[in-house]
Amino acid sequence: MFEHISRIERIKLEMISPLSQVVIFHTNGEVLDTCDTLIKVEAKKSVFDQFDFLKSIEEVFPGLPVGEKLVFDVVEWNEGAEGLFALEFVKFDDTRIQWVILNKTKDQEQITKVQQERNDSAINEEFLEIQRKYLEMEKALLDYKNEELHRVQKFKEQFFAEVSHEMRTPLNSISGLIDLLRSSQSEGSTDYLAALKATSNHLNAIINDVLDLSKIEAGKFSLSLSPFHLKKTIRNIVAGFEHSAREKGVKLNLEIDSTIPVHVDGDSVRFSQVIYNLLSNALKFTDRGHVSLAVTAERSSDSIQTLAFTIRDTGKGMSDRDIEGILEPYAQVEGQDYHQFGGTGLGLGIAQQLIQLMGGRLGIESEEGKGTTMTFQLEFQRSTLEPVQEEDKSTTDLSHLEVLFVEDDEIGTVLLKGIASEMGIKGTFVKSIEAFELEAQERPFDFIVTDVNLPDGDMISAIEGLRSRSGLNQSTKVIFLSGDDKEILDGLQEIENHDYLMKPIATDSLIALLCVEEPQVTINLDNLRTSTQGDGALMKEIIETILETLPLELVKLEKAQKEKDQVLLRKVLHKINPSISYLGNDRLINQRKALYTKVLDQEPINNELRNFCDAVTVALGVLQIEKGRL
Amino acid sequence: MSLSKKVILIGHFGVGKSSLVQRFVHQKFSDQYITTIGVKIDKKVVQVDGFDVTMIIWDIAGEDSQKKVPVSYRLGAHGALYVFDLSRPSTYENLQSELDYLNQVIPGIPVQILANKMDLVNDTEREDILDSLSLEEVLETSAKTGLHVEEAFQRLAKKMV
Ligand SMILES: Nc1nc2c(ncn2[C@@H]2O[C@H](COP(=O)(O)OP(=O)(O)OP(=O)(O)O)[C@@H](O)[C@H]2O)c(=O)[nH]1
Ligand SMILES: [Mg+2]
Repeated sequence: MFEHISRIERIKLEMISPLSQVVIFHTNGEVLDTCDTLIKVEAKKSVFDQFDFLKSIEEVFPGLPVGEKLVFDVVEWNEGAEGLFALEFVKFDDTRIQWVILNKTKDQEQITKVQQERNDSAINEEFLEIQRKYLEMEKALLDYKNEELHRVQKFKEQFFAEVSHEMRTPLNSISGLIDLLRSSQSEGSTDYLAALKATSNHLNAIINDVLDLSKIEAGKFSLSLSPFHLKKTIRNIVAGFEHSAREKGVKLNLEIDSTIPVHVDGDSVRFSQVIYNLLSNALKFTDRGHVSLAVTAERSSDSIQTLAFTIRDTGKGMSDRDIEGILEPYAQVEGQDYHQFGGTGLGLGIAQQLIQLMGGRLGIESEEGKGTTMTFQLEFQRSTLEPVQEEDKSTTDLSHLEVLFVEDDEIGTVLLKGIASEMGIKGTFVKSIEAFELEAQERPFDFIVTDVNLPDGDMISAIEGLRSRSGLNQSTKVIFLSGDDKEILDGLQEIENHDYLMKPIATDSLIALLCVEEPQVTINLDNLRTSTQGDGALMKEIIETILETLPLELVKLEKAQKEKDQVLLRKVLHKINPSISYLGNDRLINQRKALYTKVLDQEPINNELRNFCDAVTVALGVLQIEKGRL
Repeated sequence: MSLSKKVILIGHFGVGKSSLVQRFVHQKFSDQYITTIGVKIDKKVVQVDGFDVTMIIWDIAGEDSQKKVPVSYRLGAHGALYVFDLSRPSTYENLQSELDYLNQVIPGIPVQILANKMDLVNDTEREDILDSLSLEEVLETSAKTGLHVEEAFQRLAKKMV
């Protein structure tokens, strides 16, 4: 169509339409005509050589069907002209292409604005969407965590509810038994006491389980390391189960590899707890057949010995689900009845956690109706030290002790009386500070065992008062008992020579304190000072004499006791009277007097003399030190 | 002899097509986003096996679907760089169908896929995305840092010759 446009018209077109340009070129590229209104196009030359843009689609033109338009709406041009152009190509016969160029630069701003806005908002929306999804995911995660927390919380609540229910049962029996004790005065009271003790032991075990577990959970549990006799420890635990196994008609087997080391380093208490818990669990669920414990030596090196422990029973067994559940500390095998099986059911969970703390892993294999096998391995350090021999409490005799017990709580008093009578301790029991102060002025005691809070005041202050006055029991060792953590007890730290036990007190711990601790013997040289009227040299001379002669007299006393030589006993006890008086220890003075009276009355004296001699020997040690100070 | 090849850059808008060209041709990068209108042509000569190859690069305005791109822009292309943005899922979610469509409209030409904006994602994110796409021969690029940009064009040039 353009070939019909006259030159005039073309000029007109150029003038009225400076926004467009027409170029005619051959399909081989040769420029046939152009109106250079927008861009410079050289005639006769190839358009393909003039414009890279066309060069790159050079191959398209020969095949373009006649009459078909090839349109490029918007091209950002930077070859010969800067700006935005619309390009249109039409092949109007076999060989010629008409190329129309429209300058759209003036629309550029508008077009760009529209497209930019569209793209920007789409991209923003997508980012907002991504952010929203991310927040959603975070929220879902948070919800999940909350739910989990809630679940655990609920679990614990339920658990504590169950445990406190468990505790209420023995508590009920305890208060019932106390009522019985009250009403029945003394008749049958020993039976009730025994029952009380068993019940409170049970309650104590429950509380200890719960406390252990919460300590392990809170990561506040640490193991101690000291040498202990491995075989003996295991044998003792197994022996403890023999009675109940026999009663149930269950065979109890123990096989210990003879090559296991005798002494190892470890936490014997916690190790024992593991074996105890696993055996008691096995026995609990086994009504016929056997329960066996096998200890075998595995890998070993010079210093380390790995031991494998296997506890096998022919009991009721567990399903896989039960096993999973039982190892979750707060869970119980569903439908398990505390009353049927006893205990808190925490034993296994605790054992498992303790084994883990010791570096092992508890494995459980079980078949319902057939039995259960539990295995674990522990590494032990071979001990280079002999374990400290622990005194067997059943053979300890504490009958020489005089102890002042201060306790207002009735159950507490029953318990303390039980311990005192079991161990043969001469106990004086008071329920108030007033009574305590009277007793403390009356007689010397080896120990004061006291509750911290009493109806008429607190014992920490009362003990401070006692210690500040010189007189009887000024330095008697005090064992405080309290249901509170000792950290929260005001002023306790300032008190010297004391011990502390948390309630409910374990009988063993109290006995251990009473027998391990050598009662302190103090001396008071005031008598001697008065007699010598402060003459230092004379005092020293007398002390030296005492130090020389008294030990010899003690030897004589023991000899006389052995040979049942009453005359010699009486003579020596009489002879040492002044020396003992000079030591100024009321307990020694009273003991000597009591012994002398007994000998006079021809009464037998047994341990008292031994204790008296021991105490005098200790006092002589103190005297030696005092002499140095003069 | 000098070869001249039409290369088209396609993909969604804002994925970094113009930035890749800018990096490749002019060694520049800008954080600003100025969308491309229609098509913008640029060129660069590369060497393939000792030959000079003039790559005439058609940087085509991005669209969220190739169906919206005028047919004429792709006409006569010798190779394509399909670019997506690793930081925007919408730019690769329908990648497979986009590629299938391209295969119909410009059959037989080499298409190099570029996972751009590598600098915006970490290794795990990138691996997750690429695993989910399960495509061969995706080249991870960053117009910002210049990572694999040269290589992307070079690879395509080699395939076109
Ligand atoms: N961080 C980062 N940003 C990039 C990269 N490439 C491009 N961008 C940014 O992404 C935005 C879009 O880049 P363009 O190159 O304009 O994108 P395009 O694909 O040409 O977009 P259209 O022209 O609209 O199709 C700009 O803000 C760039 O700075 C990259 O590799 N890394
Ligand atoms: Mg662009």
